[in-house]
Amino acid sequence: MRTRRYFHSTVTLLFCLSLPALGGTQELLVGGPDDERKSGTYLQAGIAHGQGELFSPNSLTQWDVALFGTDYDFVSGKLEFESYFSDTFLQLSGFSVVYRKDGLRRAEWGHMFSGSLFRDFDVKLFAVKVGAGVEWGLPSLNFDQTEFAFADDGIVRYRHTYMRRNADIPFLGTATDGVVYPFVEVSIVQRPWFLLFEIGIRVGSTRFNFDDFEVDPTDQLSQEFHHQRILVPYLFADVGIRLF
Amino acid sequence: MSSARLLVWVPLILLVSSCSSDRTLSPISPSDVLSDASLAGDVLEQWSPYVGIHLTGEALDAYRDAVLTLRAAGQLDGVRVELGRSLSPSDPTYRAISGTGVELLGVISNEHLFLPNIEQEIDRIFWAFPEIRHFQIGNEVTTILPSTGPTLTIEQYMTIFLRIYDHVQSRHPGRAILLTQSTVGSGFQGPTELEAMANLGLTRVDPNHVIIAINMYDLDYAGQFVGLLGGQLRRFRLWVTESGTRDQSRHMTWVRDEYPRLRNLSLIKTPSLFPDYWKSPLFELLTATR
Repeated sequence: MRTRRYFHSTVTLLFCLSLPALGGTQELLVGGPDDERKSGTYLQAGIAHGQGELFSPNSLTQWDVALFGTDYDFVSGKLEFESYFSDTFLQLSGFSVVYRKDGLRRAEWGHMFSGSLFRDFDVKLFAVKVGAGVEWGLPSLNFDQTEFAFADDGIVRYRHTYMRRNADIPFLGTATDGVVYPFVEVSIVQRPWFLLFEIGIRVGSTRFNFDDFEVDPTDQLSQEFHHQRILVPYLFADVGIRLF
Repeated sequence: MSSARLLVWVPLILLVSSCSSDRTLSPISPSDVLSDASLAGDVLEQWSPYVGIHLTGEALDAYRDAVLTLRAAGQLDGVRVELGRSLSPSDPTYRAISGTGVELLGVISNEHLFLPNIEQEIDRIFWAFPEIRHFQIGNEVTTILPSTGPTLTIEQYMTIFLRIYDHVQSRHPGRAILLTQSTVGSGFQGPTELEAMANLGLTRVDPNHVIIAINMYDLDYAGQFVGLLGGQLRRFRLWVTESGTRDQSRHMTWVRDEYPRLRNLSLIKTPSLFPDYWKSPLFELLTATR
């Protein structure tokens, strides 16, 4: 089942990648002088894929391009409004607002909203887009893991690894149920006709807690806590249409 | 990996809640449920040998037989039992269960919490059940008490809990580890109630002597606990005291799919409720001769 899901995701990703080539070259100009940019606001839909190893604090920064077979991974769906200015403004080319659903089978978590500013650079066949922003929401529980170790003398040790909650989702549950963190994004964009195709990578910089517990047979408890900022990458592919 | 199975309490409440005493536990030979080696392997790997039992139910013989059968199969290390006011330490079913040598978690039932001298009652319970080291103070106190009788708010509960905690630390130091009441197992009420308990004084108790308990039937809401466990209650251990499903056809996949998720949330022990356990493929698998 999982293999088939990955297959579909991969096919979709490859399809999105191939569309720009079929659609012709990057259309930056709209009836104006050569240095005028193509403005517009797009509605985009896409998929994203994130994966990593949580138990090794450095593993997310040493991301393996091999998409399959890691401990934590999920496919996300996303919806995005992206607006391109007609001229660069304060060195910026536009902004975007995104809703992303991590882990499509669970309704109660993995709802992430983000806003970002970006700058794109025309390289003729496509544009390279670099952006940064802030993401906020209820993170996926796929980031939570606990590793146990049982000693022969009855001592149990375990490490709980989880994304630190540092924000509130108003009108919902507890006061510390959300996260907010910055991210950067690099992508390749093609905007032929009224369409938009984009593939790229978004890397969030999130703080993870690593809580170590040791419980001996008499229930004596030892704890050691530490935290580390970890880079969490997502690959994504979007298709959009120009609204206005 | 077998040692990993030791950690998650999995409830016999779930295994036995709707058992009736007129049914008998008959041996079940391995059948097609064991033919799926992959599923069976996954379930056995994820199984947690801790279960919950309603001693006040009507299926005491079945409970006793189930415990003995699971124990003989090496699939049971601990049992959660409810210590109702009418339960005698010489109760034959209780004695049969405790006599197997399993680790016991005693639930001091909600009815005790209305006694004016709860400290005296704690003294009595500690004396009557010397073999029990872990005591849970009430269960779902704001949700399962009948509206026709006395009820408790979470503020009233925390006042009582802190009285018991202070009494145990002063009069019985080192005698027992207390578990909080388990919050309700689905929706937002459980997490928000635990948050209220933290604000009402839970954070002042020593985590060496208190374990937080929750019931967890709907893991979609489990994420609401993570902020608390990583914040105000970070120093505490957490036990899931009930989990599971009544649907027999989902017992196996519940263990395979949901227990790992409970463990990943650092929810260490989970008792719960599997009715008609002797018909459950899960019970069949656990007690099959291998």
